[in-house]
Amino acid sequence: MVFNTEAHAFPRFQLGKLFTTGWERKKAGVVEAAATAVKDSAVDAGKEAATAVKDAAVDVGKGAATAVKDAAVDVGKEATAVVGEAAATAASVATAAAAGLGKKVATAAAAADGMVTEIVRNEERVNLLPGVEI
Amino acid sequence: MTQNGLGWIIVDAIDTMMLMNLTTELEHARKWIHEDLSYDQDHDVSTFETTIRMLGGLLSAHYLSTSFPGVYAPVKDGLSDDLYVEKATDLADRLLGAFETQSGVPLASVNLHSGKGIPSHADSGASSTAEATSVQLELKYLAKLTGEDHYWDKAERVMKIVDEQHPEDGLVPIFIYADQGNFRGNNIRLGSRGDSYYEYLIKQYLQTSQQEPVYQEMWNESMAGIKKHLLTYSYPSNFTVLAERQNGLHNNLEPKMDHLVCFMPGTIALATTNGLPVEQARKQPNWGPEQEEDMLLAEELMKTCMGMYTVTPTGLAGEITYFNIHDPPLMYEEFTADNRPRGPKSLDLPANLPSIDTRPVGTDDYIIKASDSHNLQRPETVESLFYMWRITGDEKYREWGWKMFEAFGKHTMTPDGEGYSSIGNVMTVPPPLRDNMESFWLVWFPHFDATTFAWFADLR
Repeated sequence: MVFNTEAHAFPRFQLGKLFTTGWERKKAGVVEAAATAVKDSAVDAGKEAATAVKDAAVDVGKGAATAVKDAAVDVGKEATAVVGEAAATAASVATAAAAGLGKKVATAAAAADGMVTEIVRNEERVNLLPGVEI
Repeated sequence: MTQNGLGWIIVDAIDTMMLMNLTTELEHARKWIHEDLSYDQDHDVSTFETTIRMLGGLLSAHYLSTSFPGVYAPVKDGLSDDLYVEKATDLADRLLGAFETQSGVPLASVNLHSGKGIPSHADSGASSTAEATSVQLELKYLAKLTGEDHYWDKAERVMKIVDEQHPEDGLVPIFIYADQGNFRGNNIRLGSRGDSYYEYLIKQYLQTSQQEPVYQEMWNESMAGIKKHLLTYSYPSNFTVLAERQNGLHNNLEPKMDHLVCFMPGTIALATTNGLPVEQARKQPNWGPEQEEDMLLAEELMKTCMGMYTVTPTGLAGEITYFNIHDPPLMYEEFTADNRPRGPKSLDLPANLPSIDTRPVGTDDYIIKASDSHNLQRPETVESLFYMWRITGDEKYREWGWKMFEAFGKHTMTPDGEGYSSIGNVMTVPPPLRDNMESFWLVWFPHFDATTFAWFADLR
């Protein structure tokens, strides 16, 4: 016997052939998993872009003045920091537990986009360093 | 108002008439149900209240009359055995309209004639989480009785949607939007709008003979969450308090207990033994130290709830009780089974001793605010006493139940002696009567108290 919340008595019964639990629990991490995916892709994009910047910097550095080379390295560091920061922002935005997964993903993606734009801008800054032949 | 009325008190009390062997009254009620009760009325009703009181009442009457033939007030009025279940099916088909939402979470109200769901007028249209998740026992039993699985599907979909919101540590905010199925806000409590979500988790597990482990898993998660976030201790006497987190789990603890929370001690005991007497449960292979701890927790919370009654001059609890607590709060998980605080050994003042303090035990721990001092004849404490007595066998719980019943008899009876009323203030003697009686008064108390818990051989 089992009582409902108004003290009315019902029987306990077997599921039998007709009834079954028609659902399964989803791992607590659907939202979190999506957030992690965004974070991972942001980090990957960041790494890729950082490598590109680094390569560009190295290219720039070849046969260029030491000052320019140093500047390029600095720019590279700055770019990496920006990438890291942007990735962290994307991750925290994405992992913040809240309703509206779609909104969260969009926010994280926008942050990643911004980060890539930043990297491209840094590349341009490298390219525009005065007196450097490319 | 409805033209013919919906017979709330009549339908809610049919099984009470059966248990009390009130044959004449039962025949009268059955005749009224057969001849006059129609649910085809242009009237908006609460989805939840109508399910638990009306649908639940009819289904309980069906169960008791068909599964125990000749036992509970047998009548020979020539009416069909299917009288109750026919009405129940008609009502359920109307109520199902509330579930026609994008998510499947039911709307707060429904029009019985059109079957159209109606969002709550308050709370930005959100439904109460407890209400949306406390219609499952009724609809699933009806599905079993009729073989119609759509009742089943509607009921369990709500559980799926709620679980998909991944409430932190199994603790659900008290409002949920029916359209998207997402929670509104982060107010966490086991009191109003939260309570029977937890109750129906474990009862769904038990209803289908422990064949749906998902609900026990969810209950266990919630229990762990309660221990982690909500259990604290009163000051100075260390009553166990099941508090609230009104601004989310990571903000302040509010040492407040609605009387409604008092379903928990009995429900914890029920969940721990699955309804077996504890002596039998101890022999089961899955019994261990955790189960012993949970039984102790049930016992301590039971004491807290009984204290809500014994600290007042009427011997009746207020609707809401606050507690003085330690600063900073002592939390359940800061302790182990052997050093965890426990409340006073007894709620009685020491007998035969010239006591300096003659105030009730716990007077300094309990706070009843003027705005919370009414009593609506709520049954949660007597419900828990019933479970505690049946499961532990401790006579203390039956004595407490009787004491409570006497207080209700003394302070809530109407002057003509013909009925009982809710009261305006438990802190004054005699208390002001409110000229209102909730239909549940006629269900819980005769079920569990007037008979001093004597009926029903087996909680299983």
